[in-house]
Amino acid sequence: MHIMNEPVVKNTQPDLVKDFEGNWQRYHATHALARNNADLKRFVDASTGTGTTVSVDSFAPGVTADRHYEFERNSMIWEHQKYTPVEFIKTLNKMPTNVMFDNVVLLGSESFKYMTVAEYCKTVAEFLDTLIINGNAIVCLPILHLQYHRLRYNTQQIVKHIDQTFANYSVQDVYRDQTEFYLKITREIG
Amino acid sequence: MASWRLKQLEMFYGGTGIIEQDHRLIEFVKQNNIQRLTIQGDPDIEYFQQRLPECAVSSKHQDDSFMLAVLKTSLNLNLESFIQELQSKIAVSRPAYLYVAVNKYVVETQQAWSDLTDDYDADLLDIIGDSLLDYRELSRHYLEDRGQYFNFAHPTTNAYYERTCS
Repeated sequence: MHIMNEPVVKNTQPDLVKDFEGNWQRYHATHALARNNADLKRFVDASTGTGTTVSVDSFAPGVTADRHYEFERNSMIWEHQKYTPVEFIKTLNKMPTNVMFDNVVLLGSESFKYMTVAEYCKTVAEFLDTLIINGNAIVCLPILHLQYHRLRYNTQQIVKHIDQTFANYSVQDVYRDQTEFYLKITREIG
Repeated sequence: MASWRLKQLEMFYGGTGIIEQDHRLIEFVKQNNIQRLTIQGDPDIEYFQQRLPECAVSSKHQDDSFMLAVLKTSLNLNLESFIQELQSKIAVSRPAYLYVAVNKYVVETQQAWSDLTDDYDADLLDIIGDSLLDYRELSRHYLEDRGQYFNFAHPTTNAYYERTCS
């Protein structure tokens, strides 16, 4: 088994998926959380391979992400509402699967919040399996809101478990800020 | 500046209503006729003082026969340090009642704990409770929190204790 490392095919077509994502540079320039995090930008820039980098906010388009965030929290989360933790998969499924993406950055942490580790692994694995990613994927891991037994496992063990759970991908690097991790994930070729 | 508690209530309930954990704490103080309440951690003194006009609410140490409430909602909590600080506080002030609320999502530990179960909340409260000499647990509360509760304004994992010796 070796890590895929040949030059990527430049066939990402960001305009096809403009309903909910954007080119990474545009996303970074407009999204408040990304814009204010220079270390995250450096990590993504260094971790993505040749070609274009598509950023996916799992719950909203880049420019209006914050507004959608508020809407989603208000309409989904509270107990007197119907709360569906994996609702965002529907959004991700809007992403066309008939094009190859050079690099994909899945930034939207809100939709992963309060998942168990098993739910997180399943959801990310489905996301990775749905897309054709030619380069690398960067996936947010909202460690602060993840459901796990924090007296039994530390964060390194959780990341290792996630890495071991992915069948065709491996976690190559991790960037962490105070509340979230970002995992650099590379496809493995058997 | 409005506290996170007030912001949350404003955002989701138009500023009305009360967080269940807050309500339970306020009722406990009233029912036990507690005259002095010290709140530490993330105290929000003004909020509780308004709802407990008969009680002196403070974030500073008060003398014997009072209640100490520790609400920890900060973004990280080292469990060993937290327990040591808690033990020191109660050894000095010896509150008649103790309340501990810990945000389970921010707990970190370096220690390899034994006798853990699959119930994280219960394990967390067991470890805290076992570390409190001369106190017995009166009640404990925790929920399966999928983000639908105000845990980051007032932790849903909490317990009430009473001093066992005078």
